[in-house]
Amino acid sequence: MNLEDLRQKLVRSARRHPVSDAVPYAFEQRVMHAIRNAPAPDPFLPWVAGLWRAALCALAIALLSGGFHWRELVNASAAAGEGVPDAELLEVAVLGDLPDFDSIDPEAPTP
Amino acid sequence: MDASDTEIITAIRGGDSGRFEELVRRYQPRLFATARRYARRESEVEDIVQAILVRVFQNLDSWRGDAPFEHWIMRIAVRVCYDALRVHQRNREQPMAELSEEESSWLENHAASPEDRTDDTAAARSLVARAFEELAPASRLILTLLELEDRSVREISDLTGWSIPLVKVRAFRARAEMRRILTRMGVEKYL
Repeated sequence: MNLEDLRQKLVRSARRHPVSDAVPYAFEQRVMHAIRNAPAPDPFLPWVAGLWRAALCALAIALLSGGFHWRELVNASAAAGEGVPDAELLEVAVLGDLPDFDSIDPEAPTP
Repeated sequence: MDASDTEIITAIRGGDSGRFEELVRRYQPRLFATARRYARRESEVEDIVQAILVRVFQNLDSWRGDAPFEHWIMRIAVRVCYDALRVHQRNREQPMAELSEEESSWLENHAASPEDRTDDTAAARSLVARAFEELAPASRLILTLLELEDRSVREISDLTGWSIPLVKVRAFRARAEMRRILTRMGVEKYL
C-alpha cells in the first residue's frame, strides 16, 4: 500500500466523523452585543489600502526609471569624453563661453 | 411561520437591526460546524463565528439577493476561516510531536491489513488533524472543502473566489503537501 492510499484512508476516517454544530448558550446575545459595540467600518479604508499600493508602485517605477536614466547619462558622458583627458574637458567646460582670443585685433579701436 | 431571510434583511436595512438576532440563531449551527474544522480550540471557534457574523452585519447592504443568503454567508465564513488559518501560520505554537502510542498502533494495524475498512478510529482522526495542522492555509482550506466536506470544484471556486483551474492546481499541491507531512511524521516505516 502506498502513501496516497494511506492518506485517503485517513481522510475517509475524518470524513465519517462529522464535526459538532453545537452552539454555546446565549451566543446570539454575545454577537448582538459585539455588533452594537463594533466600531463602524471606515468607508475610506479600501481607498487607503489602494492608495498605499499605488504609492508603492509609483515609487518602484520612479526608482526603475531613475536607475535607467542614470545609466544612460553615465554611458553618454563616457562616450562624449572618450580619449580626452579630464584636465582638457575641464578647460573646455570653464572656458567654452569665452571669445577666441586669437581673433581679437589689439590695434582695433575700442568702441 | 418564520420570516424569510429576505424579509429579515429588508427589516434590518430599514433600521430594525435587532432582527439580525434571528439570522444569527438560524445560521450559527452551520457556522460553528464550519469554524470547528479550522480552529485550534473552542474559544477560538467562538471568536471566528463572532467575526463572521459581525462582518455579515457590516456588509449586509452588499447582499443583492440574486443568490441565496446562505451561499453569501458561507462565502464570508470561508474567507474569515482562511484569514484565521493565515494568522495561525504566523503564530505557530509548537513543532510537530512524535506519534502517540495509539497512532503508532493504528498504523501497525493498517500495515498488517491495509484493506481493513474499520478505519474509523480516534487515532486515525488524530493523525489527520495533526497533518492538517501542518498544512499551508490554502492547502488546508482546499482539502477541508474538497475531501472532508465533499464539495465540488465549482462550489469551492464560488466559496473562495479562486478560479476553477487554480482550485485544481491547489488541490493537487495540497495532496502532495499532505503526503510530505505524513512522511515527516514518520508514517512511511509502517507502509
